[in-house]
Amino acid sequence: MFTRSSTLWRYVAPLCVTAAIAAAVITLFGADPLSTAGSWWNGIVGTPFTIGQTLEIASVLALTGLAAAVPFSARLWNVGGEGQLYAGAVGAVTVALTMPAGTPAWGVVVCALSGGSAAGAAWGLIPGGLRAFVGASEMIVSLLLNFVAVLAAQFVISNAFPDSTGQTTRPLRNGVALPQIWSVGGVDLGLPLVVVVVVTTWFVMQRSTFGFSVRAAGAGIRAAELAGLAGRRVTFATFGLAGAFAGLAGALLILGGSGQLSRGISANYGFLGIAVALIAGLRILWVAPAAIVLAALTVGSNSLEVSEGVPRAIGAVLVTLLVVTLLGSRAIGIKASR
Amino acid sequence: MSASTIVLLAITIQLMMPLAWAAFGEIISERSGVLNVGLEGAVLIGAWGAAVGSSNSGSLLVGLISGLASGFVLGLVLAVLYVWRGVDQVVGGVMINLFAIGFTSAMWAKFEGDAAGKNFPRVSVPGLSELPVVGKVLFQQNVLVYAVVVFALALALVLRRTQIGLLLRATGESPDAVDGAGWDVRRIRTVGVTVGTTLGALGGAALVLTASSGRFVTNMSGGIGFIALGVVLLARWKPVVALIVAAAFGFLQALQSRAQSITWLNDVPSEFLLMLPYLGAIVVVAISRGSRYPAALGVAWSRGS
Repeated sequence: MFTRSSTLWRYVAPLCVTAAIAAAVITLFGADPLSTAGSWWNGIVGTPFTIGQTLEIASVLALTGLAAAVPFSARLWNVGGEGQLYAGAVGAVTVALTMPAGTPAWGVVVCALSGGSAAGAAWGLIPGGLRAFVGASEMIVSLLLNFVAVLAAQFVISNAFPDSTGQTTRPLRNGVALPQIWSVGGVDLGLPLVVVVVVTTWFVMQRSTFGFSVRAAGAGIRAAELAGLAGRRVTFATFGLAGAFAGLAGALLILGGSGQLSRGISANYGFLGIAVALIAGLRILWVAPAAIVLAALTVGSNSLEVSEGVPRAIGAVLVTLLVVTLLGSRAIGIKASR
Repeated sequence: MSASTIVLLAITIQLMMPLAWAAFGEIISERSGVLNVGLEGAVLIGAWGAAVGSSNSGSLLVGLISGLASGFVLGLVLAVLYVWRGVDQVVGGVMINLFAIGFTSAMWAKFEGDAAGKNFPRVSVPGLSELPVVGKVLFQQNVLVYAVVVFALALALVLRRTQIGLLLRATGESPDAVDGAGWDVRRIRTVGVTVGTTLGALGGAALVLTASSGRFVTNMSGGIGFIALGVVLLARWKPVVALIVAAAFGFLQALQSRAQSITWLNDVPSEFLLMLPYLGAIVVVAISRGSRYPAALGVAWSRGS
């Protein structure tokens, strides 16, 4: 009985702490916490458009969540999802803008999605390769590559395909976009695509030899190597796969969104993916609901700036507070090994 | 040596300073056994705290103190997470960095003061500043630059020659032995983490108080805390070596800010010049793979585990 109530407490206490800090911060900005909570909720489910926005961002966060969850399962630190997302966005834009003019729109979309994933995978293989073959810290390298990718995207924006303003790339040709499946909410084919990706990844991680070697590596690389599984191959493959997921997320932001690459195309979606993976407890199927919750928090906080005078950055503050307090209460976490 | 090269080197030393403070913070933290990936967040929070303090008071000293205080508070939070709750130091640190980005940008809007931004003035060292080349490069800097050099030497001495230094290193190498000798491992690590983030915050405060408009800019730390992780690796946790490595990174940053006046850099797009410090840090991490980490680095300690 005691253990049960203390397990429950591990979830309740962080939620209370986060809510209390949220209320304090909202009061600080001169707004009423209860009415802000109402506006928040309204900003999520108020109109079909906000619901659609939540689903669109959730599909991006589910992919960046996978980009963290798969390597984390092998105890490899891919904290470069943000950079891999930017690499994917650059790849998608480059492919879409350089395809021959006669290519049918759907062909351009398919090639751009593949190009985005490939670019993300290539970006992910840099830290993966350096870890596997040189032994360099994949954590620091992937963190640093985030900055390089953002700068590379800026170069593509201002030098490779600039529009007249120089703030974004030129728009894609008319019709080069993912088809809408729910036009009122602005939801496109990216959503079912992501559902398929999540379920497939779950199946692979559960049922295949590859998935087993990833989890074996997570339980202790040395033990896995004794069992005849190549640690290097796991490192290389998980980083390639993670990069492809995040790269696809970047491609979706282009082909399912504005159709242009701009500087702020990702609102830290790559980093929020790490929060998604942690809240999901690195369980692949749980990545989807965790992504929806964090997407809802993000979309809801976007509306607060106008309605309540509370800056939208409050969304990121609350998400990270929640994750940090959940980590601190040991409700979620990564088992220490060594 | 041309005047333009001398300016380039003087800026190199100036840009070395914030990175060196962050690197010293990480050295102390890692020597005590805590890998602080949240250092980047400490730099950012320090910059925010300094900007809030100086823009509300108009005083550089108040700015400096409020920057340090912000880093100290963040250090206490991190110590609770890493040392007392055993939270994984990589994911905990990454989340704290993300928190710092959101927190500082939301809170700058609220706490920005009206006082004009100020910078620490350059102080010429009597006599030495008259030397050719070296005088302009090294001895006409602001006081935080001189302080960081003195600190490097002092830290090296403390780590190598004093009981406190020995205790700190032992806690990172063999916490069980430290515990067995009757010391409190967790308390030593709490001090290590907190001093580490406070120094990281000093690096952030320096960004605001010596080299910009005196105002906070969203995410202005720009990866200094992450580059510092690489600096510490290459320097193998030695302060004086870290200072030299930080100067090399200062040079990479200085190239960008002086690109207009360097002919052979005129045609290189600015984005590629801005990438240089990050690419340099990646190379550094790749070639430091043989570095022997403190043996107990990154693992939370509890008795009997």
